[in-house]
Amino acid sequence: MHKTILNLAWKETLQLLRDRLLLAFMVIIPVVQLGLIAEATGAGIRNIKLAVWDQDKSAFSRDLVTALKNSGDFNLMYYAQSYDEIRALVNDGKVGAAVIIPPDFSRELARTGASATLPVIIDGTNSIVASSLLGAVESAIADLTRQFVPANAIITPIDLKIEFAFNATLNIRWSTIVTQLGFITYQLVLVVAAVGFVRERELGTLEQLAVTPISRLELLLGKGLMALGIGMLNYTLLYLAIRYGFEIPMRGNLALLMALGVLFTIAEIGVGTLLSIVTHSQQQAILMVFMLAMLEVTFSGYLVPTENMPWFMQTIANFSPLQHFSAILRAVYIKGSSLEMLWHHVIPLAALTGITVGAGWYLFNRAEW
Amino acid sequence: MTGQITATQLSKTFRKNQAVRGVSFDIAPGEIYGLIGPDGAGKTTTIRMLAGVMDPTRGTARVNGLDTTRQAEQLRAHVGYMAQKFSLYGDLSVRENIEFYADIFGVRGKARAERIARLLKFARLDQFQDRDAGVLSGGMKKKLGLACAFIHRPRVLFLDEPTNGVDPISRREFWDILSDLHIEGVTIFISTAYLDEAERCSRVGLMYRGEIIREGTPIALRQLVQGDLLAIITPDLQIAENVAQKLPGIFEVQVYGDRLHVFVDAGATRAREIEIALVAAGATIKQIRPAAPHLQEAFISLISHL
Repeated sequence: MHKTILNLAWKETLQLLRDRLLLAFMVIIPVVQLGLIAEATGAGIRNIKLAVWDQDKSAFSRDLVTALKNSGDFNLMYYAQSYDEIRALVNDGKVGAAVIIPPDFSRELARTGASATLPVIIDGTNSIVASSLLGAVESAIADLTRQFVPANAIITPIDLKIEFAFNATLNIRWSTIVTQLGFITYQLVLVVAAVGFVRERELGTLEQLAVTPISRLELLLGKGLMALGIGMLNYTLLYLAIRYGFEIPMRGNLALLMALGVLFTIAEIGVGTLLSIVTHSQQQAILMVFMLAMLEVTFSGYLVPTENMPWFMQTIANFSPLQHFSAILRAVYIKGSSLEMLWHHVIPLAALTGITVGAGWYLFNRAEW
Repeated sequence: MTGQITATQLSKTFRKNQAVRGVSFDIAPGEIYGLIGPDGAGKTTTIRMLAGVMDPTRGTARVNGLDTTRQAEQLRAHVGYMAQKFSLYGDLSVRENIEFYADIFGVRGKARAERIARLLKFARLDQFQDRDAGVLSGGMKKKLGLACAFIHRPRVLFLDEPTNGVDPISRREFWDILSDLHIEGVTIFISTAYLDEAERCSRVGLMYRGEIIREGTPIALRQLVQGDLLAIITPDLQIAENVAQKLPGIFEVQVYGDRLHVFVDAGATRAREIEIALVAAGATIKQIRPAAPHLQEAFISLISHL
């Protein structure tokens, strides 16, 4: 039995290596998508319009404004004179960010062992732009801080108090990129699994396999193994790119990240297999993948946080493996959450895996060859 | 029943369409059994049920003593099946296709390389083994299909219209390969729309609208035709057909290219009458002679009398 499954997986691999389009899909899409997202969320955005309301008017506050100006990321447009003015500038979209320097800012900062609060308002309409704005403000302040604080200082003297206008729960750059780990793996695995059976049906080769000693279970496992292999290879490469290429520190347990990646991949193989069994052509299967992907991306919380959705949408979102896995990725990778803190996502994901794989197996057993 | 392939009241219904209606047969080991009939007669469905690809709605079939429904898994080791449509992997090479089937049929070790080499030679594909299966000619695809279906040396081969759409030379080559298998003692169940191929079978079943309406050796089937057959060669086919149909003692008139085939109750006397009538109607007759009916005429004659 094991040999037959491997034979089938080997055949699939040979075919995959001949399928230029699918190979391109596997290699180019992840690279382009990751690159574009990184570019869009990175320091690529320059000349952000900035407003400053300097109430301190000290030498230090002037240094701070100069530092922001000289960082190259900002284009200082307005010196505001009141909070209302600042607010209006942000609300009208005239500036992308506003820095409010409190009256006693430099005095607070001068006190040893204390930190001074620096309120910053960022236009959060577009989460991707907003996260890069935040990054730019953070780095400008950090540069400035480094100039007058000893390297061994325990506390960060400037405490940025960030307020996102319009979008309270903003995905920051890191989580956006890390979420791609799930998204790209999702797309690839779903496509590979969705064409798996329907392609053989379309070509008539499934009927030929019907008269070989290969059992339906072996067929399902052989195909699944192949999709899992592709999915995990992709997942690992993407992880390496995010970890070492984009240098986003991984705070969680790598084994946990990988194990849950396997669970998620199997869930999506189940979904893809279902699509492959109920459709009659590869074209139908691909269209179904697109429809499903649109729904799942919406429900995943990538565009709008799931918590902000109406209750019925939240209920539906619970049935999306991608939604659970996106949450898991952000938690494990960025926050370093352990398995114990994630049961509320891991259990539904495992249940969904069981359901999709079980349903795929049930339908496949009843399908005509 | 002791035959290699036996079917008892085999039936298949798709929704409301009864594709196969109670087909029975008993095929001895080593026979080449030809299933002939027009498109849509139920030939493919019958073969698919016998090969264990599809379960019958009613009735049973046994191949090699194994029930095709309940013992389908064991049966697979003894049966080779070739679908009507090319159903191999076009993106894999000839050799890779054969190797894949060898692997999943459990042909391993020393036997594997030896058997693959033999089959490639046997199917006359050894020069093309590295070519992608998808770019082979129609005839070569069929031969590759046969090689893959025979990789595990089954005792029974089910071939569904294997020569459909293949050029005459490749068809003959394919039948030469089948003859070799026949000599080795393999039982072959083949469906075809070509009646000249049916002549090469040891037994033929005529299938029409889901039923086997006649069965027997090609010679016996030809003799089922009523009366004698006259072949009339004439450039005035239309006139000749119209006139001949109305004459007494005529069973049936069929048109074949430049000639008319007429079934009559008594060849010798009717030939004279027909000739006179045709000439009187203004038709030129190049030749009129008695002919031996082929399966083609026999078949058309049989179904037109249903």
